[in-house]
Amino acid sequence: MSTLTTSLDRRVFFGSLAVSLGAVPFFTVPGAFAEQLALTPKLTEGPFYPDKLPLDQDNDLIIINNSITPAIGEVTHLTGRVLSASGEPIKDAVVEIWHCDANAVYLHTRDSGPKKAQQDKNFQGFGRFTTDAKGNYRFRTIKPVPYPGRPAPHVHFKVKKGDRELLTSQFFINGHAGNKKDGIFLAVRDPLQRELLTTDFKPMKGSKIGELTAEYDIVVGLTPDESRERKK
Amino acid sequence: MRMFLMACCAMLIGTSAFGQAPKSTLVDYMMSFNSAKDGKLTKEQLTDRRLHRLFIEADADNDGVVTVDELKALSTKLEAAIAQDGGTGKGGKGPPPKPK
Repeated sequence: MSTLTTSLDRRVFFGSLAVSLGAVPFFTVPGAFAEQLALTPKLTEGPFYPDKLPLDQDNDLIIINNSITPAIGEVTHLTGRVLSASGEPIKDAVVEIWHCDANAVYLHTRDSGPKKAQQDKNFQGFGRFTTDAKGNYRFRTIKPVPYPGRPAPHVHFKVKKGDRELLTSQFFINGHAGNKKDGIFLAVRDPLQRELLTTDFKPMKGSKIGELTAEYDIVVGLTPDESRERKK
Repeated sequence: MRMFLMACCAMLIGTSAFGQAPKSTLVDYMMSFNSAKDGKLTKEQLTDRRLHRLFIEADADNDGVVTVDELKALSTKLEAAIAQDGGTGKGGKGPPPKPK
């Protein structure tokens, strides 16, 4: 946040929004005026959060343990920050990502079980990273691909802090044709919300093997529990 | 009763202080970063980098500054595109996750 004036303007905006929507009187909404950055929208967790977490849960989904065979797919360096609604970086937040492999198989017994022959055994399918003091996270994974019944390629993610889950959602590839056919993406009807749920996958500068980069910042709200804790 | 009156007061205050619901959250949210309050948003002012792509898209005359009119034009365009897509597709909506 650059200036106090800007912060106040945004507080007024969110206060205005809360009141105008008529959902509840603004003074009964804890923290309604504390909102500054738009929160990353929540979306469904989906059915395939791994039921058996892999032994290797690091932030490199391309290589499992000490394997020398990488996963199939377009290697993508996914980076971003986890921020609070007031724009402060959240340190020690755990970001988890999971998505299907290049052959459209999730790391979940209900999916990888019946599709065992199809599964890319070299794709980790799930990863975790703890944010640094600036809220940064980093993964190496593949560019997501469509899944049967989900035309929009997407990456599922969770943000946790301590024993609390702050957010569960998914993000999409900006401008991908599958977005226009995907029920979960299409159910988001607001242009701002859609923007907050998409990012670009761009060619990585200097990469001779066609790697990509994707940057995705996540803004999470404080839970009521955390608000109470802060006041103590 | 007391709570009801307080709620009514709050609604009235809200209406008079903030007016009608903004037509587009996109326009209002982006312009809320216009710290100079001159109606000319710069990329430097827009500290939420998640919206830099929309900033570029909105900057129709490519002068590095986005005005309310440019933002409204972009918002109208995006809303029209959303209205066209119908809102349904494969995969189902799915329930949002329950807070834990």
